Amino acid sequence: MVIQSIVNSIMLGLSYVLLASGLSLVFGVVQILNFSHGQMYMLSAMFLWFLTVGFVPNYFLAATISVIVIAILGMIYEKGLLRPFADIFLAQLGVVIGLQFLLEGFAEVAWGPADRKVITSVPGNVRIAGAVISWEKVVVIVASIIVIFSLYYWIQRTKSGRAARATVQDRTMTDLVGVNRGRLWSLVMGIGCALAAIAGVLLAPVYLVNPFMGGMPLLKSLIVLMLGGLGSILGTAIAGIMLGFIDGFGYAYLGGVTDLIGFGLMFLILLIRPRGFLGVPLEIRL
Amino acid sequence: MAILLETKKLTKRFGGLLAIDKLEFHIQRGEVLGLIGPNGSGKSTLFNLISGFLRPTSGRILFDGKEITGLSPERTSGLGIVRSWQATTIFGHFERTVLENIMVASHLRERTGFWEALLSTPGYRREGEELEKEALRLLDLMGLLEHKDRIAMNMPVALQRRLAVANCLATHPKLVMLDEPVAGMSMEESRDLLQRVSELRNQGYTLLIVEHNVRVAMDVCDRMVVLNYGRKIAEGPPTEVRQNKEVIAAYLGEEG
Amino acid sequence: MKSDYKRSRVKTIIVAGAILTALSMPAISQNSFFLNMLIMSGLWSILVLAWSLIWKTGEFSLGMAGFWAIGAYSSTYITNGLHLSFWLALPFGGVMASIVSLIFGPIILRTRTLYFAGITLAFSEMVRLSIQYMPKELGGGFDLTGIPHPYFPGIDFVGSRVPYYYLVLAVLLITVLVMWRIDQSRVGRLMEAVGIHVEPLARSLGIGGLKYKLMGFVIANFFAGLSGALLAHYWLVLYPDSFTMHQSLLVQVMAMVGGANYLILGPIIGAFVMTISGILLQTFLPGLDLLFWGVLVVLAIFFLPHGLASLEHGVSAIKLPWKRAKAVEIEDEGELVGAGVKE
Repeated sequence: MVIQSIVNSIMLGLSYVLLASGLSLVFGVVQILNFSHGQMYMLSAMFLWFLTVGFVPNYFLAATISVIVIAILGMIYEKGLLRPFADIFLAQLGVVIGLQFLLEGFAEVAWGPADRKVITSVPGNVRIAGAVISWEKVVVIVASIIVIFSLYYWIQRTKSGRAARATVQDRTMTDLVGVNRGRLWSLVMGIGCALAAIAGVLLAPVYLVNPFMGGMPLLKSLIVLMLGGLGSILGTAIAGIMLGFIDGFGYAYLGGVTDLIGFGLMFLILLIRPRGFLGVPLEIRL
Repeated sequence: MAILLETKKLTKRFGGLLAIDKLEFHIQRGEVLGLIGPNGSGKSTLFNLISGFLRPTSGRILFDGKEITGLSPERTSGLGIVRSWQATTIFGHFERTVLENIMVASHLRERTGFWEALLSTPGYRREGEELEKEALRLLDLMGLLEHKDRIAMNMPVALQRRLAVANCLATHPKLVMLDEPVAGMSMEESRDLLQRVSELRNQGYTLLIVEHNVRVAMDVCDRMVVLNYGRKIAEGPPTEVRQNKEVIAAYLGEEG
Repeated sequence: MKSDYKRSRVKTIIVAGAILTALSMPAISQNSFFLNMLIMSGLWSILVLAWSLIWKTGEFSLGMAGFWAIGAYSSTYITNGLHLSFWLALPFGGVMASIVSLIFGPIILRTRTLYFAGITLAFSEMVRLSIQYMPKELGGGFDLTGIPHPYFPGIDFVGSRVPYYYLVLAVLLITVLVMWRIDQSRVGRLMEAVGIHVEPLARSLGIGGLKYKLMGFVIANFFAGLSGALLAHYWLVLYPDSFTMHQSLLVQVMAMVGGANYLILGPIIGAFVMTISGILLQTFLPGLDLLFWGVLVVLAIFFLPHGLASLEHGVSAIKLPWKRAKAVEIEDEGELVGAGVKE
């Protein structure tokens, strides 16, 4: 039981890091809290199911297609619906909330409200330290780690990644030195949605999928984001893993009440240290 | 010479940008001090620092002998420092009248609390009557009494600016800071407003006025402080400042 | 200048007309489905009005679902658990919700804008989870069934929906009346003053602090609680799923579609339009309601940024996006990162 919980915790934790990083990136660069982030997670999973049922029986191929489609969808969505309201916070908020409903409705209309089982990524189980762990979960863990390191590399080593990081820390300066805002926003939105999509396709074989599964991932991402701090990658990673362990062990031993802990922490953090453990404080008091 | 406000080595940095550089100046009780300087010289930043909307990077601000460095706007207004804004000057959002505006602005002097307001106790209502009497007096002072029932947003800009000043006075401040009060107004309107404003000196108010239009400022102010690139480059009565070489150079290309 | 002074004549007539229409609705049709749409619209209206009051003080609360739940479950405890009268339960639901907001309000209201939204969201979920896992004896639990109809001698609440329709209408009218009174009073003006629209101005005049935000918060959540109590005794069953982030966001959406800048008119229009369209579409094809709502919100933001209520100014309220001056120009051409950026 304990080993199972540890594996689940790591798996959940890494997924939370993926999701929260996507949300954090979009928030930091495009300055919009993407309430439809959870739907990207859901859409990629449902689209994966859709593909594997009819057209592409191979999990990995279908997953890749799904992620790319969602990423492109995100970029179109940003350019077409969010950018016209670039500096009007309330309008953008309205659009993302509207999209949350729209995408959930679309999924329900297109594929029906029922739970679906997605084909497995790698069949079979493996014995780890005396416990039986499905290969699917191992795939999630390994793939997540690869993606997270890739993300880290992108932020630290590439021109665009560093531009993104600089924008989060100091907007005005980056405008000054010639970072093209438009293209950066598209790229970041694409990456942000891709991260959610990757989490979606990875977890799809492990759990059942349905059009309503986007709500909780969004909430978990928000918790991680608030705990770890807006604008801090390390903070997001630590908070994500931490929440993963809380939920992993909590669900096993306490059941559904576990969610209360996560929200309780979010509540406390917003009271005591709103910027999160490692976050960047807002400069002007206005 | 009683000093009401003074700054000591006041500095404000925004990331790599040095907005205010070890600024030292003071305001005397009962005077009208003009703060002038070209765009980007730090006038607005200084305003924000004094009123508490920005925290200084280093240095001190003293008001009436007390340390107010880094205090929030709520605290500074409670101590008697009030400021106006360029963008939002009045409470116009929901079609409020002139009198209603001042009544809102008088809130700082309201003593009755949460429960009294919720239950509309006699004490709450009595205080409302007193505040209204005082509000009408202030409107009269600024020549707005006849307009008291007009919708504030629909009035001409010149009258709105008068209302903005009246709003400031409603808090019974010690220091009134006006941020470009005549921006966008005609010469005549500007002169009228500033005339009224300078008369406030006789009522015992101390004023700090930021003004972009140097000529107009010189007519009204007792003393002037000139900023450029966050530093004080001149200080003194208008006649002196007018002849200061550095000041002329700073404004070259703008006003000459 | 007549337009300067407040025009009340025309508005009074329209409002009177609307009330008369509402009162005579059951005369048009006693059809159960028809009345259901109106009753649900009314319940949502009260909830959105509550949100609107909090918005008036400058904050947007994503926690409306939580207080709805408090109203629903606490009133149910009175009728279902203690077997007392519904007429006690109804105000009890409102009072419980306002007590909770009075206790937690001072803490929650320390935060502002984005953080306030986040904290109300977290709080709402905490309330829901707490209720879900509370022992049945205290009125908690997953699915709560068997909630009794209200009882009043001489009125048949069981056989017909008409009495309940009038009940909801009555509460809605009371809510509107209270909101309107607040709007007219000194308290109301100060609530506006602490709002984000003029927040720097208010702060520089020393208007800040908790007092008026708390007042708005407590009064608003009282009505949210009332609405919840009415909901519980209409559905006669309660599912915790009905009080999640989804519902809180729906409140936002209704307000935005109706017109968030309008204290009373916007929320009511938004609630009615969205509830009625939602119920109709949901019956036709599940999921279509969500899809439609999403499209509606986006269209509203693009073409009617001040909501449906802004049509009171005529068709001019419709703004064609390509004609609107762009707030900020953001282009795509050129390199992502220009030459000026150091490696």
